[in-house]
Amino acid sequence: MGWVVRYALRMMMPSGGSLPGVVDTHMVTFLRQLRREAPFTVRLGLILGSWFFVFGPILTIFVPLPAFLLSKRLREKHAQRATVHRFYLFRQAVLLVKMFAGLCWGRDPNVRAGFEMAPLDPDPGTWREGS
Amino acid sequence: MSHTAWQPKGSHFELEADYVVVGSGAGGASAAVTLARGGETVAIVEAGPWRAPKDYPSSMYGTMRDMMDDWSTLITRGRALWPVVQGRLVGGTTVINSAIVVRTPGDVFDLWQDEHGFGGDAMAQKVWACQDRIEKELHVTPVPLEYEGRSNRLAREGAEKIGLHDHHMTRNVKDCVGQGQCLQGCRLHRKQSTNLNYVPEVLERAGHVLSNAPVERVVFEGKRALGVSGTFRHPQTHKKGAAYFVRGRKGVVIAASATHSPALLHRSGVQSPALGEYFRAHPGSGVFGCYDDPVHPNAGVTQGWSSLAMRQDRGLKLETLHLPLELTAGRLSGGGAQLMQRLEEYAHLTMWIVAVRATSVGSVKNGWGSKPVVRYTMNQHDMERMRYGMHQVARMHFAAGAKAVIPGVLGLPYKLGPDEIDQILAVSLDPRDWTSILSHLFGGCVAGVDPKTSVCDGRGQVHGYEGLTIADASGLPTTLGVNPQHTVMGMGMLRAEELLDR
Repeated sequence: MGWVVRYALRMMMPSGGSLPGVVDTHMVTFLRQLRREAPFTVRLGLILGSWFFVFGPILTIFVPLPAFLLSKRLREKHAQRATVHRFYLFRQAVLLVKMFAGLCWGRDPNVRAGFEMAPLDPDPGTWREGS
Repeated sequence: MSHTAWQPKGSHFELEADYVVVGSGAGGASAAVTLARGGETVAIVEAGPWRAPKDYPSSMYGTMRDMMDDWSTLITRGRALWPVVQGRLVGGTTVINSAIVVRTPGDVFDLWQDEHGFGGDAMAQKVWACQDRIEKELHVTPVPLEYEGRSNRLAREGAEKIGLHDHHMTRNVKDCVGQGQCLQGCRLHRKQSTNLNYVPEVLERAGHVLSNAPVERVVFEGKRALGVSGTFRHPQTHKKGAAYFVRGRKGVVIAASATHSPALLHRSGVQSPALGEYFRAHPGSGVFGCYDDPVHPNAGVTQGWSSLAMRQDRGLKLETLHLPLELTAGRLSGGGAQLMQRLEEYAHLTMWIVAVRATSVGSVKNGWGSKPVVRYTMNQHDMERMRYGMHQVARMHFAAGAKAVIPGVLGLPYKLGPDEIDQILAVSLDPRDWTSILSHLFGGCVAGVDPKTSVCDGRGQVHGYEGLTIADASGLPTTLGVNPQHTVMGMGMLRAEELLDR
């Protein structure tokens, strides 16, 4: 997945607070896995959602700049407003970014340890062969 | 006979049995095992792979990849885009649901009799007899109190305080230890999904299972169903493999789900004005409660408490649901540092949901790439009931000791205190402002006596065709107001018994 997707996930679940951000997890590995395994529609949805999110500050805070050129304060304001925006399709596109950020973040052992949750076992991805 | 999984391109696979059953979930597996017990040879054809508990994923990412229908990308087309959740593997949705078992209420059979010309007390007795058997065979027991977890306990206390009758759920789970992993499939073998019992029994009784074998069409000779054809799909790469044809000497039983069964019949050229119509659901939405002490929402039974107190007059069902950490991030509103701050209190949050016995009606058609297209919009009346149900859930949370609730509806503050919950009763009824899912699905190939308004008759036989039976939730003409698995299984068994009696 491209730089815009990585930036979007990072902006959605940033580091800096008491919890690790998505960038502190195995985000790059996750995105590689997603690119390899997910069907085209899923990948397309995430890419479109990321582009909307990164290039959407004009719709949320009325600043005609992409998110990566904004100050931290404005970027935060944009991230907050994007998820509750009145324009439904924009909001849903951004929700996809949040969903995938959550899938990546929530399976990380360090994140889970912070909530006193056991690490997840690997997903074997195996199936029963014919007999 | 045996199990045939993915077959590479370059060969052609053919098989013959007395009956072909399309789908191996609640309806398909129970119909197939009944036919096999009656001495018929059965071939089950399942679109997804066969995964044993050791193959189950642990994460929600893995669950979407390995168990959900097309990564759970099926969404309603209508005013709002709501996800339609279904399993796609041997065992179908029985592998990934919370195994809740509720007998079909008697009023449902009366309703079918009054409005669709079949059902009534005679059918009720037969379905309940099947459900007696299912309950014994699948170890249906109440949720064990020692493993229910704090969320389910709080729900019970909260409901009691606001005067709601409730019950411990009964589930087809043997010796549950409250791992909270129902949605990912129970890796401890405790949940008695059909891939662990009925499907293997079909194999033992000289049956055959084709997995990774989505059916492309039902093959007819004139108006008689001869069998099904399709192409194997690799479970990992999704590449097409060998073509196959499975002949059913005595008939074809369709149990591919309320979305896939009508789409399959559309693709196969079945002519019926009612095909794909009368699609219904129990849409659901959740409210988080925020508690001072940790709830640890993933410790204990995934869904262990419910109330049917408002089923009759309001058409509502209230229940608990443990939402995995990975999905909670997507469910809480907000983004950026604000979202991270909200996630800090995850251990103190727990979600309870309201499911609506909706009167809204949608449709299902076959779409591009054999994907079903579901058109569905909740009407104003149903939205009002969902809003009322959400208010009741919020009341329950406060009665159980919550300091705030998080309704997650656009237009409401992120959190509401005990004095603010009446704001819920004034919130927008636009479905686009709500976060909901469709998990209990009905119709699309509904049963009834009139061929103009139904696809099959009261015995599941498709009007105007021979040897074609509907045995899943797509044949149910109404919603139930309770979890549908048990009804679908009971009806699947009954359909098969009727075939054996012919």
